[in-house]
Amino acid sequence: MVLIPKEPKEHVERRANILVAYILTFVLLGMPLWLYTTSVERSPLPHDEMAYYDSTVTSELHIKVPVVFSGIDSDTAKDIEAELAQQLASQNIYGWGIIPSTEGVQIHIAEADTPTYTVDTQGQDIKITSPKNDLVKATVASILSVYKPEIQDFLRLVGRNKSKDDLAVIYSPQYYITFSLFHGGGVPVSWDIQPALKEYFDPLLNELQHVATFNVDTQVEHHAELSRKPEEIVDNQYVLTPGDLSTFINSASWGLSSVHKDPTLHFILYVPDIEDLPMHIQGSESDSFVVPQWGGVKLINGQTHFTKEQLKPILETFSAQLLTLLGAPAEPSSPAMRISALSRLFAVKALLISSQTLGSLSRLTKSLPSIAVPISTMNGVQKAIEDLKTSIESLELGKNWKAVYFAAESMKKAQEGFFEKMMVQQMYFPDEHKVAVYLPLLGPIFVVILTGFGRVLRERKARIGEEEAAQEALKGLSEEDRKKKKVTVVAGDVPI
Amino acid sequence: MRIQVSLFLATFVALFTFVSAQVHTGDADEAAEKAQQFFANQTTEEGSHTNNWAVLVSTSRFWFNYRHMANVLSMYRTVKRLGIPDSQIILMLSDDVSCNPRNTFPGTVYNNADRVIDLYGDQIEVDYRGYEVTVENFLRLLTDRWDEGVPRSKRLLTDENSNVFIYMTGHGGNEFLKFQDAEEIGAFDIAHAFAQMWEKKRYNELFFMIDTCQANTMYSRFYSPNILAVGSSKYDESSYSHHADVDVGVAVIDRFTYYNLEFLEQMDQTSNVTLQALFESYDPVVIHSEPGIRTDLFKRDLDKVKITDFLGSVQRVTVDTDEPQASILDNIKPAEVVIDKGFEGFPKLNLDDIPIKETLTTVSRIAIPLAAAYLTRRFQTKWSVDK
Repeated sequence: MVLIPKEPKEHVERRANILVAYILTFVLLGMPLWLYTTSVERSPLPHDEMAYYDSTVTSELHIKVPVVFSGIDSDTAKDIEAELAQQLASQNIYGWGIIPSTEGVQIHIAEADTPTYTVDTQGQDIKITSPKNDLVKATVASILSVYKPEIQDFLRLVGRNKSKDDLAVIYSPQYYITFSLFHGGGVPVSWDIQPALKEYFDPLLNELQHVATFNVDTQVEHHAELSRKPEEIVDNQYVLTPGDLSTFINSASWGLSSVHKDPTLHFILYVPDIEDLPMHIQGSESDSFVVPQWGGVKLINGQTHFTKEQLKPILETFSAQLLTLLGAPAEPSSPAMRISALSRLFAVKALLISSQTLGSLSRLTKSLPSIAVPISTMNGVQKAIEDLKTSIESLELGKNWKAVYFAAESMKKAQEGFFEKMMVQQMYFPDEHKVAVYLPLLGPIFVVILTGFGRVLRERKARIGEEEAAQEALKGLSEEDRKKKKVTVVAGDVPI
Repeated sequence: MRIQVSLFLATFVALFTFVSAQVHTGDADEAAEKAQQFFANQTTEEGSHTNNWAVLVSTSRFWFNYRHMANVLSMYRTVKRLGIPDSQIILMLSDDVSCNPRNTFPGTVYNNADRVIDLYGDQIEVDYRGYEVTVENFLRLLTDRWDEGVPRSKRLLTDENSNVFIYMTGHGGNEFLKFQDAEEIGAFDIAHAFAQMWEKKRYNELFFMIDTCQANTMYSRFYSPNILAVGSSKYDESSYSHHADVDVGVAVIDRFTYYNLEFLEQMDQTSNVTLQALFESYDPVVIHSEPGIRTDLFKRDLDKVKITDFLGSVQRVTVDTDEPQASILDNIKPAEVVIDKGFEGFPKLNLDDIPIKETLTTVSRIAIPLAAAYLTRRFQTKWSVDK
């Protein structure tokens, strides 16, 4: 039997210290470093505010149409405002009203025997006549019937009316409008689109620029053939049935794809191949149709050149389709009033998207704890909430242009926050994967440390046993012997 | 000693698993459950979509995986034929077998030994090719989280009215699909991406089809509403290729996709064939695996869902019945606008201003080459002197 010489005490202690140092390094340096490097950045988001706007934005919205009364005193004006609010409330409609202002819709009120109202087809003027004793009620009734389509659209947007608007294109702060002249064959066709746009379309565009950004381009394309020929022929003319129209747009081969990420509205002037039969659309005198959320098409047969003047009625059709596609209420017919209504509806749409995006972001970051939330997202959210508040305030003060601008800004910022590049969900790793990655890395180190820990424990136990034995041995000895013995024992060169 | 070591290891593993579960709070089951509660209150109306998008992904690299490229190109051909424009198809093609040196018929991809249809054709737009087909890009595509300046053709710009068809093929296993022999996407990854799409209203309805081994496990983790999912084979079951072309030298198509196509080739844009009919045509005997269909998240009855609701594009149009009542162009009148301080409004477009960017002014166009010539000359003389 080989006797292993007993280690000096300081060696044993040193080993214990080394072990402690290792463990401390692991716990104090390694663990925090590991946690830090594997944790995902999660900036604090104002979850309460986000959830608040997501759930209550519809009740926060108070649309006010700025109106200027003439022909009545300010007390009557106040009465009208109150009566309108009361009438709407009686139908359970909140969030829409009028506000007396210095600019806006001019309401001229005059006394007459019969209550009538007329809406100007150009500007924003409403003329109301009414018997004196019934002035307030008649005015309110007139205003309500003028704005009925807008109120219905508003109610639909805030979800109090279930019907769905299939026509209107998805809301965006920026749109592209493409005018295309398509010819079914190879005959040269041309149009004076630029002067026509400048003279006829520019004024409308200028007004629309108040509610969003619009970009315009044009193109001419030949050999734009239909994907299949219409089947019905009447009087030597093709008749396009609704079934034909649903596959009329030959997206596969017509050059219609856009390079822009914002929605594009296409307006196509289609000239069927001159060598083929003329085409007409069943049930449409104007030979035009709207493709929901996409654009409009107008058919003209047998023409190869379009002068500026000839383009006017075509642009007229396209303008009507454009306002419909944007979601402007059909009545009143005055374009200025329609665009004004559009600004309020756009503001509401943008605010709804903005607040829903904020709510989604809040829910998402809560439900996916491993997704990163970078600081830019937090900043975006804060700015979005600020602009949201500005927009809601402006709506309430009747400042429509400002409201729609800030609503769009709020929406943009909220979406930038949501679609932040860094927020791509970390890949989901099952636990076995984690073990497989970490085990070869940490396993060998842990084994050494754990065995070392076991050894130190064993040695400590042995030492305690040894000391007890020594104490036992010292029992009943004289003071002098005790000293002697203790020395020998403590010196430790006697194996146990 | 050996027992001790293994015991330590076991303790370590147990301890570690515990720690990791604690630290990485991304416990997916829990998250999925939570998310489900959050999303539960949202619903969409029946069959109301206005645009169709398709995402077609093949994930395998290398020549011997020819059939996966053929699978995905077959679906590409189908959705295009049924009317989805190229701008609304995202085609992710992980390898370019048509230009592989081993291809006996360069520039072509066939899905059948009869070589009737060249899937590569004349009009093909590959949006992600080769090494661009990665898990990260796929997830970014679905969630639309990109750098600024990523082109439109590489983005899935869907909205709440979009029906999205997602087709994936490659080599996979239980709850994963390999990408490029380098990485893999898990069933949870896709499920979470779909949840984010739903949360941001990026689809109306979604049809997920996958052809890979143990494909049905890939859709088992979905939890967002309005998703219809189809897989080629159940858990622990392989999907097989259909047949090989001896001249091409490899298998040209997988069975599941082959029989799907056989059915789809018989229909056109105007046919009213339903998904129910397609699913009923699946025969496990000829497919050699058991296709799975998951309908619990999907609200509509399959016998009322037309195939063109997902794989095609049929627009519902509104005919203008009468001439517009009042002219818009004649009646437009500029509104008086009072501009508030610190608020500029939307940027204006002027039809007169067509932006033409001159990158170099005339002065610099002359001055820069002159200066360059002078400097070159000077340094040349200097260096020659040094020598």
